[in-house]
Amino acid sequence: MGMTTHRQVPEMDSDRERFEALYRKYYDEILYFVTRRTDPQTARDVTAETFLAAWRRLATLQGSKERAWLYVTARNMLTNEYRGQGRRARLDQRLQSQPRIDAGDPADRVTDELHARQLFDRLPPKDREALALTEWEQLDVVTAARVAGCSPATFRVRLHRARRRLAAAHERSLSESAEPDAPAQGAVSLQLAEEALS
Amino acid sequence: MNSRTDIATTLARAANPAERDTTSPAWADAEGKAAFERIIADPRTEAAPAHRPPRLRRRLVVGAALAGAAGAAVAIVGLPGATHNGAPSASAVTKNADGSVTVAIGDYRDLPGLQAKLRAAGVRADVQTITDECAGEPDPGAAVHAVFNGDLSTFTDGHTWQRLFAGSPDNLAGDGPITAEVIILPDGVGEPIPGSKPGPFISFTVNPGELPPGDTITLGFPQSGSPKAGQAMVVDVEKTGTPINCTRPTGSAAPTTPAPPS
Repeated sequence: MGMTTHRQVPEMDSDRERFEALYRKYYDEILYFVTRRTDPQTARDVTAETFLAAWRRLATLQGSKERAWLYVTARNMLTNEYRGQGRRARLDQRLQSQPRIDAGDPADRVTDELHARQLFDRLPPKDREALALTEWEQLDVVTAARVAGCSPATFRVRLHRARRRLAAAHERSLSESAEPDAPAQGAVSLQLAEEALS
Repeated sequence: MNSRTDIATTLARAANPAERDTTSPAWADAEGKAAFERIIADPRTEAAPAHRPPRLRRRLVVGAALAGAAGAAVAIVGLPGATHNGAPSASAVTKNADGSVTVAIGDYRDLPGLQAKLRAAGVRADVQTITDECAGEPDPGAAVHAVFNGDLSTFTDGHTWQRLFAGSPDNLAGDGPITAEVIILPDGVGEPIPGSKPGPFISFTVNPGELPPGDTITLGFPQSGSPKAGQAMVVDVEKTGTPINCTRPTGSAAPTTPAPPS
């Protein structure tokens, strides 16, 4: 017993240190990933569940893949959460990065942002997921592909298509806003921003 | 200069519903700290078993009814014959009433057998091995899947692709002309995605009459000859004699090596 105790204590300390480092490094990243897809309290719960799973599987987590593992686990925790709440019918749509827009969003939200969200929301789910993993979560292609469950090359194709579709939707909205009696303030505003950038 | 990529990037970032606040980390706030303490108090008695049951290793995410929308099978060209430790054997090729052919691949053994079955079913196909680079690095924690490619010069119209693979799982037939995939969930990371139908096969349906003249369907399998988790098989439709396309789209950068966590 004594030997067992002596051997376990340093191991547990080491585990705690390693887990704490993991927690500090990725907690916020995972929390934001989840927050973008659900309400704030559920996001906290799902993030905690994700890290509890990581704590329990710490011995098998590989350093180079722990980030992707956390994302995939959080994604699946969200799946379970939605299922538990009886919202399965909406799950795919939500999980594929449908941004949450509360009814209580400030009325004075920037027009460009609303315009961008409207265009973004109209994209196919896989397009939204590819863009969100890349632009919101700032994941590299290899990690994002792992989270999306596809090969890096396939993910690149998805991302390429998603960008193309989003830009095309934007261009269409610009054309429509150019029509008389059909102003689209967000589109116009973004057009001005583009002109300033170019 | 302002490319479409730049515009899309600007729009996508503007659509972000929750910008990260880097000034006050959430892990260090009261809720973050309390969660940490609760987690490390967990005795870890529910740790995942070291050896997972084989049945969990391969699950088809997308709907994969073998006959599916293509109609009832009328002629079975090749069946998974003997079982291997209770699992289906290498492959089955089934001719359907409407002339389509459903291909179900249980593992990567017996490639010559699969080739013969496809030819017997009237599918212009070439079964071959591919490099590990093409199949993806072996990674037991990653999803196993079949990646479908199409010749961009042929599949400029999404409907062409959809007609060729009509009756296949939805995200194969509905994902446009360039590429699609059948995904098998990674093991050990939770429940299957809702809407998915677990199944033992990578399965798809091809309509030989819709294969453009001069094109061949190439099925590429990892050289190891075993369905290593994390390695994809590739289904590629290209001009006959064209080397298999390892999913790299025209104009894209070469795959990068995984970056270490930052």
